[in-house]
Amino acid sequence: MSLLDLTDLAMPYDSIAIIGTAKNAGKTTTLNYMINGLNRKGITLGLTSVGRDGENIDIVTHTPKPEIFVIKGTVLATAERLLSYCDITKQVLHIANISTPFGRVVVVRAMSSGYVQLGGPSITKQIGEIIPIMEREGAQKSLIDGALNRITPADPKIAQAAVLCVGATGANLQKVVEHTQFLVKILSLPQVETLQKNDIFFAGAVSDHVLKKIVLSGEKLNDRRIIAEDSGKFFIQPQTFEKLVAKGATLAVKQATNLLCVTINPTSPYGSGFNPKEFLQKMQEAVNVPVFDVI
Amino acid sequence: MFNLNEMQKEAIGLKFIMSQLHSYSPYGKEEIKKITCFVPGSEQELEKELDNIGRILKFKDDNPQHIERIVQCLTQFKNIWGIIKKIPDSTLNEVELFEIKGFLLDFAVFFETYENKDYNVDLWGIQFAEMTEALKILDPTSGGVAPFHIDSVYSQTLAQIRQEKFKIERKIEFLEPDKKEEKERLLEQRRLLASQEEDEELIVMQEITNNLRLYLDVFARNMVAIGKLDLVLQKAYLADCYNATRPKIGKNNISIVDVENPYIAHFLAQKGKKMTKISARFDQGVTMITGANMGGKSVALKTIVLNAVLFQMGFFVFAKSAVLPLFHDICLISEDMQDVEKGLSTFGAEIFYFNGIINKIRKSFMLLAIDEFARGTNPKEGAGIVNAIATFLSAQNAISIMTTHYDGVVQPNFGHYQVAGLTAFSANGIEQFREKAKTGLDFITEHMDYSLVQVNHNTEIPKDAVNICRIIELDEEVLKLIEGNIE
Repeated sequence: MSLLDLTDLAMPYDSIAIIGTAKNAGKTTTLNYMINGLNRKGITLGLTSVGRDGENIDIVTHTPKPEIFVIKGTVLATAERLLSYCDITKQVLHIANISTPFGRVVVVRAMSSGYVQLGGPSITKQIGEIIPIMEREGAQKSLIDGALNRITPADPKIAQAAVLCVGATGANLQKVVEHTQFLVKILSLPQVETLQKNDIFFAGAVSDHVLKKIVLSGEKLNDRRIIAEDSGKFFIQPQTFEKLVAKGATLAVKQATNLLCVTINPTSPYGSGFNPKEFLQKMQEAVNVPVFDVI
Repeated sequence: MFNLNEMQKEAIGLKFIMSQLHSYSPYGKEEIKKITCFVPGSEQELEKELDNIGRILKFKDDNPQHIERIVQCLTQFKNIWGIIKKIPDSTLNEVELFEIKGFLLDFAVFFETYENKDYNVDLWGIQFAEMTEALKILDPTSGGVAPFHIDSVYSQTLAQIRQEKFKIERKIEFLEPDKKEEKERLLEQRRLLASQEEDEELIVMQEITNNLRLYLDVFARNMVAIGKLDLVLQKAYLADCYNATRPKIGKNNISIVDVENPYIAHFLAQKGKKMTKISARFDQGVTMITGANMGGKSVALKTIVLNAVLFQMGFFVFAKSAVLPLFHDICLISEDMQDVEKGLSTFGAEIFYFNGIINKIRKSFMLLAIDEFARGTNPKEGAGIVNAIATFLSAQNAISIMTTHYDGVVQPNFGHYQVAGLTAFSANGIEQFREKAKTGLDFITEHMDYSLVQVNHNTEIPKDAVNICRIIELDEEVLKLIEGNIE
């Protein structure tokens, strides 16, 4: 499969979250690739990020240059104090009533091409306020740069689809593939239409602790469904997942995530990285969604 | 406000009233926080403030839609005080300039609406100055739309840099993907130009800030005027809500007819009850309000203090008519002022507080409201203390209103009101209430008349307690003993 398909996969959706498993997952490369591809299709993009306050401020301010490149016309929602790190000619459009560690979220239009630094709302829910504003200002499709190590931006209430980025972290390729396989499993949990009497439904976040308790309760779980609002609400460890499945339970969600694909970055600034071919092949075997090497 | 502490503000209903004010603009919110009291000597200013409320009320009746339009404009304003304060010694950035432009655009719409010649609102001390010139600084092409950017019309240098940068950006956009070195070279050129653009933009922002500096005073005056207008609208809204009346400014006495306390009325309404309106006149010197316990003396006192304070803050009052003077200070000594933290007894707290204001009482014109002074002492001492305090106050330049249930403390030169109390019992004979008493005691509160009745100085406190004993048919032997003791 060629990289071109990544953009094509995104076409049916108005909002797409790009989420990464760790630092150096190739999130920015994926984002830039999508920006480029969608721009070439003549689409005006809206860009923002979510949940970045989990990352150190240094990551944003000490980066030698912002790495996201946008073209004239792009609408972006970023924090007030990050505007000086954007070298586009800016038109200020709107100040949202949302604060972040870098000041209020400001919606601007790029009046030239250039590099931008994204720092949108800290809380996933607030993205829901920002996207309509960007759309009102002309954005035809919104891309949301998700925080590291969090799959919550893939919340289907916020983004219609999601892309998962995986990097060559650590020395063990197999471990990375297994971890991704598990994440993909969670992100692809089936959607239930109506709740049944026997279902165990959680209205909010579901911690691993709570799920372990279910495992240890000794209750029979044959044909029982454990349901959360969406995949991002399951904070579950692979072992707990396996135990639940072994006891006959199924995990499901009220609203499924459209996981478009997995992108991989075989290089690593900290070590030797992985063999690109092997990484791609193993990943393709492990997950049931398309896999792209973005490097 | 005056010497009232937080507990007292709550108890008299001032906090309740203030919580009813919902400013339309952030500037109105500031004004509400800053409300101060008119003091003796500022009667003319107070008249103008009351005039303004009256004018708004009349205007609202005549042109309800136009008031709606003005309110609509007020709700659009964002608070830019913080940015305006930065103008004298810093350079504003694009976001800040965007906010000022937003304000100026909102102001232009507001100004046109408010100054509409067909509707002359015309309020004392509330004037607005046009800001078209200031808006031109931020809207050089007169686009009249909210988005703001450092337009190339501000600087020829900027226009040139951008043109050059644009050419390179186009080249980058259409470059073949494999020409990586060429791309790097173009990106580097672009980076240099972007940096030049940033420098030039900064110069423009400095110029814009400098130009705005000339209008600092106009900004400030308009923002304050918006706040004042908002506050008058809130005062008028409140007057409308509670059917309040414009008070007359008097000199040495308080004269009120059918005065109410919306806070207490609000609580009574929840219990399905109505507050009794009070009418009274209080001259310089001492007026005693007597009556049995639970007779509503405190309610009367709090109602008078609340209305006096609101009057002094330039509000309409909750009465059918009212004449009030401006005081230098209004003090309330009541159980709501107990200084619990200092561990003083009720009486200790009262005396401590009284002693603290005594010099003020000697030197200035005050309204002093004292609720059941010395209630925590034995009746003999209590009556003696109340008597002494009243004698002292009667010789001062103050209007003092004291409530008490002690007998024999009203002197001939004092005003004297009594809470009517259980007058129905004496008027209709007590026999007919005996049947009711068998089903419960609610009838007592039902027949309680809380209105104030002016009486002679030597009128005794009604013996309602004995009447209640008779109605509920207290054991005859005990009743006889009580009657023997009292009569």
